[in-house]
Parts: sequence; structure tokens; C-alpha cells
Amino acid sequence: MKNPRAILGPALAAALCSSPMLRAADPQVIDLWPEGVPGLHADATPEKTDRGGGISNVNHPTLTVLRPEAPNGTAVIVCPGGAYLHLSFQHEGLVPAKALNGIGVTAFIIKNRLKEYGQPAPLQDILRAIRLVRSRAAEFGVQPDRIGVLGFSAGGHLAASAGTLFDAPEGRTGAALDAVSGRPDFMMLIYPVITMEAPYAHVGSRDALLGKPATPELVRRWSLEQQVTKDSSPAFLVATEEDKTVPIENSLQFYEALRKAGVSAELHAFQKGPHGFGLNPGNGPTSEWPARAEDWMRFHGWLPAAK
Amino acid sequence: MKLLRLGILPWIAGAALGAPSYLATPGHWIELWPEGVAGRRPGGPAEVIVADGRLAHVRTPKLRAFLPPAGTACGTAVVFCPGGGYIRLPAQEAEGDFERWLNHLGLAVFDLTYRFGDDGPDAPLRDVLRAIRLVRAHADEYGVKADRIGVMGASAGGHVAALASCYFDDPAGRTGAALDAVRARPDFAVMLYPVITMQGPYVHKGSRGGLLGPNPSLEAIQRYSMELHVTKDTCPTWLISTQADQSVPMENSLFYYAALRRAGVPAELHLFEKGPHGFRFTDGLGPTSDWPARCEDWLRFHGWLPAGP
Repeated sequence: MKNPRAILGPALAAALCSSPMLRAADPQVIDLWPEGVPGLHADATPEKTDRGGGISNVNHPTLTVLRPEAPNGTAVIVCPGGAYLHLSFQHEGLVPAKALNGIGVTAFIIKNRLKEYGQPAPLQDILRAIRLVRSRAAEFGVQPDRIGVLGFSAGGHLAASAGTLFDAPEGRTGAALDAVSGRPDFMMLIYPVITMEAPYAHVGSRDALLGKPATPELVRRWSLEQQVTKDSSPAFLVATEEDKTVPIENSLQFYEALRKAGVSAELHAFQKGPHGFGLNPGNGPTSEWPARAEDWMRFHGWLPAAK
Repeated sequence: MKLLRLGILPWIAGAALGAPSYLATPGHWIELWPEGVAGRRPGGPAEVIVADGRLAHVRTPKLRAFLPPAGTACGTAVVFCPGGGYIRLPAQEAEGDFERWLNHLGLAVFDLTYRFGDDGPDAPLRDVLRAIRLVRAHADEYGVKADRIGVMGASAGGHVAALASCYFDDPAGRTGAALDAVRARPDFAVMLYPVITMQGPYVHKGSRGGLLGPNPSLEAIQRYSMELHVTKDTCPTWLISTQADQSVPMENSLFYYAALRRAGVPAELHLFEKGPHGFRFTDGLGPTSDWPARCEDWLRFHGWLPAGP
């Protein structure tokens, strides 16, 4: 996990960077809503992919499956960041997914709906993703009680909304799959957006998710530090003092809420690392966060004990 | 992780064999107040060693130096404040685990036997600031750099470390001695499951009683609630606590971190799940047990430890 570029094969990286179209040999891509996307816009325009691997204007949410060579039965759904405006699909999707594969975890990168739909579409997408993986656990070679989420920035908000609002009515669509639990077994949140309340809200994410202006009810509903209960998923949090985009208070407030509710949680507040550091090296102890996440997963039994 | 464990092994092995390597340079005692203990109240309880071998009622504060083996010093020193709820402290023999770990890393360690509330609530502050001034004044002698002197504390010792971190320039820390002229600000602080606050639901009542007595005034409570006294000049700080701590709630660390953050002081905070209060170097606590490696990473990041291999 030291150098993501070394993990991500150059051929795969080139294929994924140069072309939005995945070939047959490329990772399996699953439609999240085969019965039809709930609330699909009639005037939907084509999805956009930029040269850096960023995706925007998502109308047809998917899961991209990346399987490890030696699967250990744990699944993680990776939620890329991008302020609910776009998805950093390469840097906060494929790169961490390959790193997860490296420790035997089956990774699923979500391509969820964004600003074009606003809430609760992203929540519907992530809960559907969890329900889908859980209902087809045997097919994917994973345990239905070992399905976690990993989210970066606004993807952290998405992951944390799954970990807190898994039973919310907004997340159900009337499909048979609603009967399957949408609760992630654990959540790993890296420099996450959590609150929609001033002064620590990330305004870009808030506007994209809630629209402008947002009612106080909406702000409270999607300020996830206010949605924590004793049933919220165990959490692992990483944030840095240096983050000028999403203040570390987002993580601190969420941690405090988890603590008050008696939910197991581990928090690492580091110094160095600008917002969006991903798996980049060079940020001192911060850059070792994947090893910390691995320790935490091992501690909880989501990874086999170290030899 | 495996490699890090191997790195820690030598000093653990030393402990197991009962032959701590630091005894190559035996800890020697240093009198803290050769001119007479500052602010000592006449009378008062005697300094006694109680049943568990610890010291109750420190009357003669002192330092004990544990220097790393010759040729291995990295030039950084730590004044170490053990815990004990401001009612007990290790007596003649330190347990040795912190000292061995730090010596193994090349740090010089100065164990502080500080006073509790017997001489008034400013006595521990006076003792820790005098300790830092003393080590700094004699830096050459101890093979340390005058700008690389940190303070480290566990539990109530963490409160002493916070006193030094926030009140290094406080008038109560000056006694009219020549040493007052020496800078007392620690260059960094390391706090393990520290006592920080003296107010609200997260207070450790034992420590408050030991420092402030049974019925402290609101003024005293506020003065010694260290989350209220962090400034931009407070030293960089590394903190660790656990959810499982039933004695000193982790909110003590969380609130101190939040104060450091507001003041713009560089800080690193690790909140783990497992580990009872005072876990020290206990193995088998999951990620918590690897805290020494986390602390080393931070010291290295700041240059207080040489860069790794």
C-alpha cells in the first residue's frame, strides 16, 4: 500500500485513464438499478469522463467489481469524493480498490448519482449497492456480514450516510431488495464531509446535495453527526489539520456523536496532508493511514489475523 | 507492522531478562531545588512509601536521569511525568518501561517526582518548569540539544505535561532563582490518556482532589482545566486515549485537541477503542498496543528522532 502507482498495473491504469469504455477483460461493471433507475430524469444527458478519470453527470449508477487474487471474504464498497459534483473515480476509486485487493478484500467502486439529482438519490444508490452485494454475497465470494464502506471527502459523507441512515425511508424504493439490510458492517471515512451546518460545512457538497437554499430541516437531516444512533456502524476516521477544504471538525464532530452513542470508533487526527491526499506518499505519518485502516480491520476480524 | 514490532523488541527483551540495558548508565538522582523547595509549606504530611511501593505526599521533588547508552544519543530529551492521580507516584524504582523505550530510541529521559497539592496547586507547575529549565541549562552535560526538550506524561502526569505546555511563562512558575532566566517552554508534549479538565462530567475526580483539594473554588477549577488555556504558543502535542478507559474519559484528550486546533498548534490525536486506563505497554490491545510506533512516527516527522532507515 506504500505506493499506489506501483500497485495499479500500468496497463490497467492506461486503459482506465484513456478510455471510459471498459473492455471485456476489464473489471465487471454491474447496473445498480436493472429495473430502472428510480426517478431517472427524462432529459438525462450523457455521462462525462475527464482525462484524470473523473466522472460527472451520472444517470445510471453502477458498481465496478475488483476482485483480489486471494479473497478473504471481506467486501468494501469504495465511495470516491468530488463534492457531489463529480467522482474522483481514479484517485479515490480505482487506486484504493487495488490497494484493498492487495489485502484480500473484494472491492466495489460505486458510481453514484450526484448534483443532477441531489438527495436522496446518492443514499438510495449506496444502500442499493450494499443490498446488492449482500444479496449476492456467495456469487462474489464474500461474507454477508463483512461488507464495509470506504469513503473519501463527499464520498465519506455518502459512506457515513449509509452507516447512519441505512434504515431511512428515503433509502427505500419499493423494490424487493429493500428487504435486505443496507447497513454497512463498518465504515472507513477519509477526510469526510459530515456536517451540513455552518461553520464547518463544505459548502460545495452541501449545495450539490441539498440544493440552494437548503431548508433547516434538510440541513439537519443530512448533517450526519445528528443522525448517529447506537446502531450506527463501527467507524474508522482519518483527517488532517492541514485540510483547508473540509475542516477536520467534520471528523471530530462525527467521532463525538459516535462516542456519545457508544459506537466503536477509531480516530486519527494527523497534521500534514492537503484535502484529497488519497493514498499519496510524502505526508509523514498521514501517508501510513492505509496501514492504520488495515490494523483496525484486522482488530475487528474483518481481515485474518497477522501471521 | 512486523518490522516495527521487531524494532521495539530489544527493550522489551531487556525487560523480560530483568537486565534493562539503560542500567549501563544508571539513573542518577538530581535535586530539583538545591536552594530549598520553592513554595514549600511548613508542616504538612510526611513523604511516605505506601503499601504498593509508591510514594504518597511528595515533599522533596526530584529528577532522575536515564541517559541512552554512549554513542546512541539522538540529542532529544524528555521530562517524563508518571501518573498517579496526584496522590501517588513511583518511589525509588521507576517501572522502567517508558525509560527503556525512550532510551532505546536515543532519547535522554528525566523522570520527574513532582509534588501534588500539599504545597498548593501551583507546586506541580513549579516542579515541572524547574525540571525543564534544569535540563535545558545543563543540556551539554546531558548530551541533549537545548531546543529539543519535550515533556511527556501519562494520566495525571499528562496534566503536569499540559501545565508545562500552557503555563511555561506563568508568574507562578518563577521563584526568583537565577534559573528563571532559562526558557521553560517544552519543545513538544506527548500525552497518554491524560487528565486535562477539572470541570464538567469528564473530570477525573481523584486527580482534582489531589491537586485542588475537596472543595475547589470555581476560579481554581478553571485555572487548572487545561483545555481553557491553550494558546498559539503552546507546544506541538501528540495525544492518545481509548474508548475503553473507565477512569479518565477520552474527552479529556478530545477537548485538549480541539483547543490546540483552535489555537493553530500542530497536534496529532489518536483515539483507539481497546485498552483500560494506564495500559502503558500492554500487548494484545489491537491497534492501541502499537502506540509507541505511532509516537515514534510523529517524533521522526518533526525531526526529534532521526529519519528512519
